[in-house]
This record gives sequence, C-alpha cells and structure tokens, in this order.
Amino acid sequence: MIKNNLKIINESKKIKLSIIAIILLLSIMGSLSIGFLDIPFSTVIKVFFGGGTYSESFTILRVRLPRIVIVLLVGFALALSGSVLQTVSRNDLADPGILGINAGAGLGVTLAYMMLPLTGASLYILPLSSFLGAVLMFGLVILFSIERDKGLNPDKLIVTGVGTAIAVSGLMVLLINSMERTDVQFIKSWLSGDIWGDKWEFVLIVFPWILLGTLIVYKKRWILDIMNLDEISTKSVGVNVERERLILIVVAVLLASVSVSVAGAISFVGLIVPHAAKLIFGPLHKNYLPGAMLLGGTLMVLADFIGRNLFYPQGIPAGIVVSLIGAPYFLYLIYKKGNA
Amino acid sequence: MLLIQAALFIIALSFGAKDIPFGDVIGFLLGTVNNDNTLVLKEIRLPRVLGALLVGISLSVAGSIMQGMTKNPLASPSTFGITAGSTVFIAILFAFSPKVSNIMILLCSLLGAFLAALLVFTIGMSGKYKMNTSRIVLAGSAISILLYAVADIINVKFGLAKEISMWSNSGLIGITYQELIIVTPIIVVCSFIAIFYSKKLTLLSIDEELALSLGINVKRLRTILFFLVTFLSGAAVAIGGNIVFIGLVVPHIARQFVGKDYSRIIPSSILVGGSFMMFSDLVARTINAPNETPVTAILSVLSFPVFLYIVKKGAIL
Repeated sequence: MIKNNLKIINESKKIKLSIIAIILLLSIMGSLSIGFLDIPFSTVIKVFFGGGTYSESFTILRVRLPRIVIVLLVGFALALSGSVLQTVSRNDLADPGILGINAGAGLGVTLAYMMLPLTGASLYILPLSSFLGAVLMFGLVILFSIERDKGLNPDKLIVTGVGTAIAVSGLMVLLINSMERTDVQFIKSWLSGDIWGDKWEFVLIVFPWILLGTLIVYKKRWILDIMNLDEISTKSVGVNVERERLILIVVAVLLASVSVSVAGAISFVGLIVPHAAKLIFGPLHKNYLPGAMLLGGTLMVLADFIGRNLFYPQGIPAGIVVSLIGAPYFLYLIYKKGNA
Repeated sequence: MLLIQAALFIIALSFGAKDIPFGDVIGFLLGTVNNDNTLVLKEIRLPRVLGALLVGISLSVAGSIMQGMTKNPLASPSTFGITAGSTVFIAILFAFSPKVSNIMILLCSLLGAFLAALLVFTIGMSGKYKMNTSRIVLAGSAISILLYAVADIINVKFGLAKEISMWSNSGLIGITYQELIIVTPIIVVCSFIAIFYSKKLTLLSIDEELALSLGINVKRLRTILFFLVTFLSGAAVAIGGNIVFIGLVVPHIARQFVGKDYSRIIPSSILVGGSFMMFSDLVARTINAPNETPVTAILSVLSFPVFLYIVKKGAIL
C-alpha cells in the first residue's frame, strides 16, 4: 500500500517535471528561432544536423545557442542557490541578490575588470574573483547579523544584506568612475543584469563550477531536509549542523557568484523560483530541487527571450524582465506573510 | 554645528575643478570683490552648493520624520522606495514630452513620491505585524527595484537613456537658480512645519497610546507627517536625482548628539544633513576632477559604516 502511494507520488512528480521540461524546450526552440533574424523551426533543426546556410548556422550555433546555454546554467544555479539559502538561513525571503552576495560578486568582477585585460586565459579568473568578493561580502553581512548568545538573526541578515547591496553598488560606480568613460557602460549594464558573457568560452568557464555546486547540493539533499526541522531534532540526528550549514552556505555563494559573474546582477530568480517549486513539488528537497532548477532555467530563458525581442533594437536586460516578474510576486509574499 | 556648516559652505564654494582662494569667496559673499573667480562662484558654484545644502536638509528631515512616525530605525525616503517613485514619474514625463519645464519635473516628482509612499505604507504596514522593521524595508526595496525596472523600460522604449541618465546620475551638475527658486520655498516651509510638529512627533515615536491620551489627533498628525515626507522627498529628487542613504543615516548621527527628542533631532538633522551633503558633493566634484563622480556613490561609501553600526547596535525594534 505505502509502496503504491510512493509510486503514485513519484509518477506525478515525473509528470510535473516533464511538463516543465517541455515548456523549457519550447522556450529554447523559440529563443533559437526568433530574434534579429527570424529562422523557421525546420531550419533550426536542419542546422543541428549540419545543414542550413552559413549565416543561419553561424547565428544559431555561435550566437544564440551559447547565450541560451549560459542563461540556462545561470537559471539553474540561481534557483539552486536561493533554495539552499532559504533553508540554511531559515528565512524564506532569502535570495543571493537580497543578501548582498550578488553585490560582493560584482565588486570582485569590477576589481578583476579593472586590473586585468579580460581576454583569453585571464577570463578564467573572473569566476574566482567573483566568488572571492561574494564570500568576503557575505561574511561581512553574516558577521553583522550575528547576535551575541542568540546566533544568527534572520531578519537582521536580510536588512544588512539589502543595505550592503546598495552600498557596494555605489562603491562599484566609484571604482569604475576612476577609470575610462567607456567602462562605465559595462558596469551599468552589469548592474542591470544584462547577460554579457554570451560566448562559448564563457560556458566553459562557468560550467565546471556550477556542476560542482550542483553535485554537492545533490549529495547533501537529506541534510537540507534535516535543517528544516527544529534545533533539537536536528541535533538528535547526529549531524554536525553548524559545519554542514557553513559548507552549504559556501556552495550557495559559489553558485550565485559564478553565475552573476557572467550574467550580471540578477535578483529574484533565487527568491521566487524555490517558492513556486515548493508549491508544486512539496517541501522535501529531493523532490523540489530538480523542479526548482528547471523552473529557474525556464524563467531565465523566457526573460532573456522577452528582453531581447520586446524593444527593438536595444532590448532590455534579462535582469530587468526578471525584476518585473519577481518584484510583484515578492511583494505579494510579504503581504501574505504579514496577514498570515 | 552651525559653525561647521558655515565653514563647509565656504570650503565647498572654494574647491572644485578650479580652486578659488578663500579671500575671493568671502569677498564674493560680502559683495566686495568682483573678478573672474566671483563669476564662477555666482554662476556655477553657488547654486550647486546651495542645491546640495537643500537636498541634504530635505532628505534628512524626511528621514527623521519617517523614523519617528514608523518607529523604524531603517526608515528613509530611499529605503522605502519613495525616491524611486519620483524617478519613475520623471521618466514618464520625459517619455511624453521632450521639452519639460522645471515645474513639471517637480510636480511629477511629488506625485511619484506620493504614490510610492502610499504603496509602501499600505503593503508594509498591513496585517498583524504592523511596522515590522525588516518587512517594510524589504517591501521598500522590492518596490524600488520594480520601479527602477519600469523606469529602465521607459527609457529604452522611448530612447531616453541619455536624458534620463543625464538627469538621474548627474545629481546636482548644472543646477540653476530657476530650479532652486522653485524648490527652496517647499523645503524651507516643510522644514519649519516639521519643527512645529516635532514635539508631537516625539510623543508619537514613544507611544501611540500616550500621544492619544495627551489629546493629540494621531490620525491627523500622521497624515500631515506623511505629506511632509512626500513633499520633502519629491522636492529633493526633483533637483538632486536619486540620492540614497542620507535620509537613513543622518537622523542617527543627529541622535548621537542630541538624544531622542525630535524637537532637537530635526533641527540638528538639518545641520548635519546639509553639511553631509555639501561635503559629499564636494568630494564628488574634486576626487576625480575635472570629471564628476556620482554623488550617490560617495554617499554610499561614506554612510555604509554608519548603516552597519545602526544594524549591529540592534536598532531593529
């Protein structure tokens, strides 16, 4: 009987996952075929099998596909990072943007951008400097949110994070302003979440890190569930919670900082996607994490697609499209929480 | 403190892309010297420094009032998204007419401030946990992000990137006497009204019941304060663009000097805020001269330690 029930749950999960996957596939196909140059679906498929004219295959394989892959990876990583952060900080309003992680990563990117010529091999330093900046900044945020003998205060964590994010973006403007005028544009578009690293080389740069982070989270999915329990039960299970919490925080920061290093400051994906995934798949991490990743990827691909095509020819950054969708949902969450 | 402000005023007039000797500055203020330097002072430097002073004063007073009436140490025009409201409405204005008058900018700025304030107070203060500190700040920052996104889209859609970014990033660059003449009365009058109501504000900040029992019409008081905040923030954005943090930290600095009585916090916020803003604007002009650095960047960096101190000290109520 129980086995039967489990089977039913598993099947419904599979169905839901497949539905999201189909939506994702459709949006990827749409993104591949629609843009500055409209290419019919049939040609897109032909190109994948080595057909099509040179300009068609160049547009699809060198311009659109790498961008979509990057956007997809960023969506996966941000959704996962947000899910982990919400669990470990015991605050369901946590998100890499709100906690100041993106801002710290941005500072790291800015410093790397100022000191190195960002071409060839030194591009590989980008995720590292981004990670370093994010770890230091988030460390600072945590340091200022810990209360003596009470531990981490979830409310303070968020307030400090928001303030830090504002201050650090000011610092970035300050740094970049001391440089050439043209560079201001780069930082401005970074801050608004414009996907700038959209070449295959960037895929190579971020993919290993995102894979690593995903595998660690996958391995620790049970521990995340345990963290949702209250302190006493957690201790009785015999897990060194504080150590695990630290590891998971570092992984979450890694995922977020690596993705924003190529995609710019994108808020709200890490916040709203886990919520939606929990609604659809229930609270167990092994159930909702894959769903959250797929949803995050879908949201990002769609946001980038809309952003690129809505206002010709400049387009609007994906980060802004995500904010337009995410901010109202977030306000709704706050409102609901207040009236609960 | 008044002395510091006066000294800063003269220093700010003196330094810039072109440094002017103090002798000339004082001579200009007294009306005794008249040369090339005084021309620079009159046409460029003086309106700019006065603008900084006014923006600093209005945002600081608005911040003080907000912190008092919401009992929220993190309240300020920018954290609650009110300045973002002004920005969006100014962007919309630019979208509809390329040539806009200063009065129209001011009106749109005020309207935007009013609507954003209404929105954030409604969402943030609804429900059982009224005035929950972090919740309303989150609501404010989400509203800010949303409104800035809208402003960005308007910019792109109407190809206004240049006009808007000129307006919102330049801060006080190229401010003219005409702009000053429009906003000065608003800021001065609102500041006086704020001082007039400061005793009642103190009572409200201590305890609403107490204020009620002393015969204060709390509802009316709140409404008046709400409009003061709207007018002060809207006027500040109309001339200074987006300016963060000053309304948040200045009241806390003032509190360190004079305690918890708003009839003293508001006047000292005027002094501290005006000086702080003049100083930041001075740094913005000189740090990378002759290029301008956005004053908001300077303010963020200068205010951040104070912000961390506020949070760390357990200012969350």
